[in-house]
Amino acid sequence: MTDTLRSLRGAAFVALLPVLIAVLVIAFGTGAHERIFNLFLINMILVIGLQMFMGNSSIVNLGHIGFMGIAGYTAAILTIPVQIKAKIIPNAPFGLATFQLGPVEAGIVAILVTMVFALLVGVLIVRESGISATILTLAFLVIVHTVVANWVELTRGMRALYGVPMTVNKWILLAAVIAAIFFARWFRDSPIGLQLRASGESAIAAESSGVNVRLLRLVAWVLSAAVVGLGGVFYVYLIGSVSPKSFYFDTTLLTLAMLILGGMSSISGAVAGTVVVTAGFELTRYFESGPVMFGVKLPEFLGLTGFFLGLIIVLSMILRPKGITGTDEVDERWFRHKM
Amino acid sequence: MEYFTQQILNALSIGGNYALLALGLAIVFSVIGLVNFAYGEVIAVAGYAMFGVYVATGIGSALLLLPVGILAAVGMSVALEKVAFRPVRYAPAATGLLTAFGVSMVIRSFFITLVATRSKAVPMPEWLGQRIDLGFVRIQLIQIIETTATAVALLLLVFILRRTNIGLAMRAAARDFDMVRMVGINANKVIAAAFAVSGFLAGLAAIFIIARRGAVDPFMGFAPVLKAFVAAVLGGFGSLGGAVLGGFILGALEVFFQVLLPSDIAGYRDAFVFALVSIILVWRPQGLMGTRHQFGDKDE
Amino acid sequence: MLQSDGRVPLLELDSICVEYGAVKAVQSVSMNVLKGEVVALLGPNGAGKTSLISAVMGIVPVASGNVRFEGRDITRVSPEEKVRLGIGISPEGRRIFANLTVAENLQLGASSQPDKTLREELLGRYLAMFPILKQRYQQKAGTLSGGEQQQLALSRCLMANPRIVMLDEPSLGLAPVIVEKIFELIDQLRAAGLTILLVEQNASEALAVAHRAYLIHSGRLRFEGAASELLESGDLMGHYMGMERRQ
Repeated sequence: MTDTLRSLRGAAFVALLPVLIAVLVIAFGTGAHERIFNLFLINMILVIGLQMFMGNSSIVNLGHIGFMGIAGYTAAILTIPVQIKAKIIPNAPFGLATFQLGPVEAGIVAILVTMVFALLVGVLIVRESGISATILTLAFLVIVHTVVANWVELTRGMRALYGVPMTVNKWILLAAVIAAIFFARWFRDSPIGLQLRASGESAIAAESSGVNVRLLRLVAWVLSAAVVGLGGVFYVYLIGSVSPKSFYFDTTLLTLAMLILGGMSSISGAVAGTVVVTAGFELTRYFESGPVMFGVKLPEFLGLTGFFLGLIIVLSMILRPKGITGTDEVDERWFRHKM
Repeated sequence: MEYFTQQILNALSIGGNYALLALGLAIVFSVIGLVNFAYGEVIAVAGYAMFGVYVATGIGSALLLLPVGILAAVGMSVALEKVAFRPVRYAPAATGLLTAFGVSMVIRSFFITLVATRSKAVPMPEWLGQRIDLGFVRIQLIQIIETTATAVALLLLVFILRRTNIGLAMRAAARDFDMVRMVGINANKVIAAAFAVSGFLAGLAAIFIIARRGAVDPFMGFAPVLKAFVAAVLGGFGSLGGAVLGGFILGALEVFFQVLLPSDIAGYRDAFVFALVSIILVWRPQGLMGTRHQFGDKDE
Repeated sequence: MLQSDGRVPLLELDSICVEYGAVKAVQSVSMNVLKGEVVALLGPNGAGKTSLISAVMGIVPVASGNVRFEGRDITRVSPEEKVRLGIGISPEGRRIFANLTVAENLQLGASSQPDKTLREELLGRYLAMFPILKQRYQQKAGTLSGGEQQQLALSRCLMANPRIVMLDEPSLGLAPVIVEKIFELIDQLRAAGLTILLVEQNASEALAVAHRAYLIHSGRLRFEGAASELLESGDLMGHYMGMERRQ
């Protein structure tokens, strides 16, 4: 069996899980379940995108959600009908208030814009390693958030941009997730992905064998940003509105937790982590639906759920730092045993 | 002139705050290579401890509350190490960093569940806000206290590091942790000391954070620690002098941009600060006072 | 000559195995050191000598086997505790604290020594024995030359007044003239009755000061016997000490 076929088989193997869950939701789920399922699929896209970078380089990336924000806002601003834009962001620069695009064109533009930003930022980031790189990714997140929250003419600042046509449903999301899995798997097993993973072990060895680690990392960074951006686009298409808070630390920590728990070295890990954390999260939320009502706007994590999430991360790190799936793709280990 | 001096003082007090916290992070990192993201929660614990005692006893005296806050912070810090960080002590840096993230979320959630998300107002005592007239400038008493306290704390730290045995052990551990064990010094003691010092600094900083914020809430430590982390990396992560330098520079940058930016783009201050910090890091990835380790360098 | 009067060895290694994941660095090595002896542990680069010493010290875990000190099992005892029991180490690469002064390095070496008078006496003794350290007393240890650092590492470990000293590759990276000096000092220590486990690649120098020797290669013990015996069996030495081609 050739390597390509093996990758394809592997990706299909991993993609079975979300498909299976989809079947369950359709068969037994209520409307509420479907809402959770849709968000779950979007989170999975985000985590897969994150995995594409973090799994192939040893840098802790705290900025990926910045790309979610850039893509999400771009898609939102482009697709909100002109009549609504006239009300909420009449003075938008670049004449953005005067026209609107369909969801597909807007989505493509959003992802391209995101990739451009990723390229510009990535050039700086891939030169660094370790803590410095992490700080730069953090700086990126903060800068994106600050700009979005303050550029009121374009984004309505801290207030929600609403009126985005809600054009996705679970089928589109499921298809996107499957596509993301195949794409990420292809990348992982591609020459670039292989070289990146090898050089992750030893930077000296990589550099001395002529591999241009920086360039490869840049590629991973940009592709990762594109996938995360896709998640952002779908997010605004699903929710119909967008505000800066959706693209800041809460989502960052959530997706990071999912990837860590699942295992950052593999797409199986990304998928597994998303499933487990979502399941646990919803379960905790069910128990947490308590009587205490706060007069103020709730933070996205409230008590128990944050506790649960934090506990996951801590226990994973102590007990199983490589995550549920360890270093290999699930199918790699499965089929190895069978030989 | 007065405005100018006022801003310098602002920079000193904000910078001093960041310096204390950056130092707290740097000390732990230099000894065991852990990025203590749970540090914000140590600050919050100090805050809540002080608030709790204040509510329980009705005494608003700094003389009582400051030691309470510091003790709480030190206790929390040492406990954190023992319970949460010891299992990952010899794990790679990324593992420790993420563990600290997780721990911070757990603790923060505790506060949210047990206390409230709503912040508790802590009115600053009248006499602290008093303005002192120094002739050419009028400054708030609290700024004097804050700057003095920071200076004293830093001097105390230098004394501990240079003149005490445990300080010597900590400096050695920053260089070669295993070797410190091989001269017969108890690893746990050295690490606990580092965390204790770190907690002390957090407790001290906490009282000034509360004074500035006017409130305690579960998230009060998050933003300061974020800034402190940036400051420490800016100065050269692990370098103690660098942490202090980074803290003051960050404070100065913040005040600088706050003053410089016209009011309509003042909200972008954080973006400018982070952008500038990024540029500095790209130019000097090891930080301003860090040393560049090339592969194959002799460890001298 | 091997002592056969039933004395309990000061240090005894019993079938020690050290593994790094799947790699077996040390396989079932047994050896001992009697009080007052200088025992050489020889072997080429990568033979497993330092892994063995690290495991004895507790820096690296012992996969299987026992370490006994004065008859007592100390396999799982922490490194710092072992130092307090009387095991001193001058590790491979010297590992002096470069950011601290010579004085501070020595002070740290005496950490496990509670008796102040004894500390001062030891300091005086070793500053006399290593006068260069007295000269450079307040200098940062990182500014010392290789040979001087080795002397510092040695005296740092001696400041704890250990019952046995493990010297790991003291000649590594040093010029021949300096190496001679170092071994003179080791000989002086031997004459003063110090028990030494000397790990070395430099076989000739090591055998000149040692009573007995062990030879380790690829993690296994290949030879043990009197130092003079090993010196005489020239081809055995050449065979293992770097001219072999297999493996």
